[in-house]
Amino acid sequence: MENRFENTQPEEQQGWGKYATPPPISAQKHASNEPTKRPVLPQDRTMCERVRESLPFLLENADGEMSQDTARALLGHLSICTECSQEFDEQQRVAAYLSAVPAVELPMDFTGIIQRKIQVQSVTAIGGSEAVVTSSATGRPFVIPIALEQNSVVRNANSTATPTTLQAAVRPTTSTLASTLKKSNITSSRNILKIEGSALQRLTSGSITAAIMAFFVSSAWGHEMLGENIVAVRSWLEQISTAIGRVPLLGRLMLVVFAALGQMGDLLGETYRNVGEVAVRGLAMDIGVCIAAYYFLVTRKQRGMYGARRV
Amino acid sequence: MEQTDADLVRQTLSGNTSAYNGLVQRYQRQVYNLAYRMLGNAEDAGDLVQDTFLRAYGALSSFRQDASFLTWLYKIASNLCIDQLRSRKAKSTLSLDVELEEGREPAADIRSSGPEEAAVRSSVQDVVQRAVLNLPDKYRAVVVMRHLQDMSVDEIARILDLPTGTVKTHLFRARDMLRGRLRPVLEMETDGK
Repeated sequence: MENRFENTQPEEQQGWGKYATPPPISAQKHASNEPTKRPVLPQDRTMCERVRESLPFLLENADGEMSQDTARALLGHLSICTECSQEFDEQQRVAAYLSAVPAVELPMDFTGIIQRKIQVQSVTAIGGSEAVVTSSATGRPFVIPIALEQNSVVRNANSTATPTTLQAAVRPTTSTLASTLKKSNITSSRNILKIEGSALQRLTSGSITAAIMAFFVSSAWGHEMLGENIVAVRSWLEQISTAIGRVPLLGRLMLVVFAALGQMGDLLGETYRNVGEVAVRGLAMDIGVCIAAYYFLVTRKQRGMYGARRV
Repeated sequence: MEQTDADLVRQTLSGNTSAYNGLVQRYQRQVYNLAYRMLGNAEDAGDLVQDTFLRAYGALSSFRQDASFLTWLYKIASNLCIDQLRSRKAKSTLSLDVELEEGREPAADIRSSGPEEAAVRSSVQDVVQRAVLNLPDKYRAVVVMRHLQDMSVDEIARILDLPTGTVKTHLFRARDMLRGRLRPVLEMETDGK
């Protein structure tokens, strides 16, 4: 920018001189084409506007980036134009108010937490066996090792071909899973999903759970177990409903609900017996996919709602 | 003798994870302040500090020594802040920014806070803080860094990947908006003179 601000003359004070609300450009142009209404030269009329365009740079001119001549010209204009100088002044006062806002104190020292999280991260990167060692070394019952244990369950499940060997492979690992769960005070399987770390980890644990479910439903052994369970649940429901049927109103309601559930159980059992294994495999796939999708959605929601998870 | 950032980064990269604690200790306060002013509450700010340092740790090998560690850290933190603000906005359609876009005045309560000048004066700082939180994200970022964290325009430009000219105009626009919101405060001071 050159010395175009040096020959400053008192400008006509326009209503639209406010920087915040300049009129549309077409309106300005139209106005400047009417010499009868505007005896003052066009360059004078736009002086305030031009000065205001330069104010952001004048206000942040501590580094002296703006040429001295330009700065002097701008200050010259400010000394004669009340509106521009008011804006300049208020900008500085706002800046002063902002600078007076005190810094907030740290609510806690984050060093420890961050250090622990970094350890967890590096542990998951290294692998299962070391995970257990490191977690016991720091004295914290981590959830991560369980996820790794679970991983091995699935690796077994995938590598074994027939349902019978699958069954043999799963039983010991599920029991170790259960004991690890006990050891690390994890009471519900939901906690497994609260693993710190990336969405990838969560997704993996989700698909692992889904795979286990799918195995249960599709294998002969799981098939059998599930069939038995359905019968057991049916008889349970019957017992509960007869017990609860004595309570008026609520009992009546519950009775209806239980009867419906019982019928659903019957239906499921019937399907199992009649339709056969192929259809059941398909069903298992569906269930697996649904569970994976559910976990994916849940974890995404958690991340979105609460941001990063806390320790 | 105190170790430089570059020393601590080098030590961390060579496997001494506790060297990283030095960096956390050195800069957690600045990162927390940025996050607190950007996000408006202590809980989110605390989470963001942890997230920032974890990400920085993960990406430490990509940190080039020619930039300052704090600038690099701020870059991560401000990106995380903006991400979080965006996802918040996607969640709540009634955010303050939306109110602004719709032409409502979120800080109208400044005006209605009563004629007791002394009371208003004592809460000037609250008013300023609230006004900052009501700024659109990109303006809030520059204002917080420039005036609350006392960074240079050049630094801010590097952190936000913007030309310095843009930072200056953003600052101007932001203060212009604040000027509108702080009008009662500014006028009161002028009257008092």
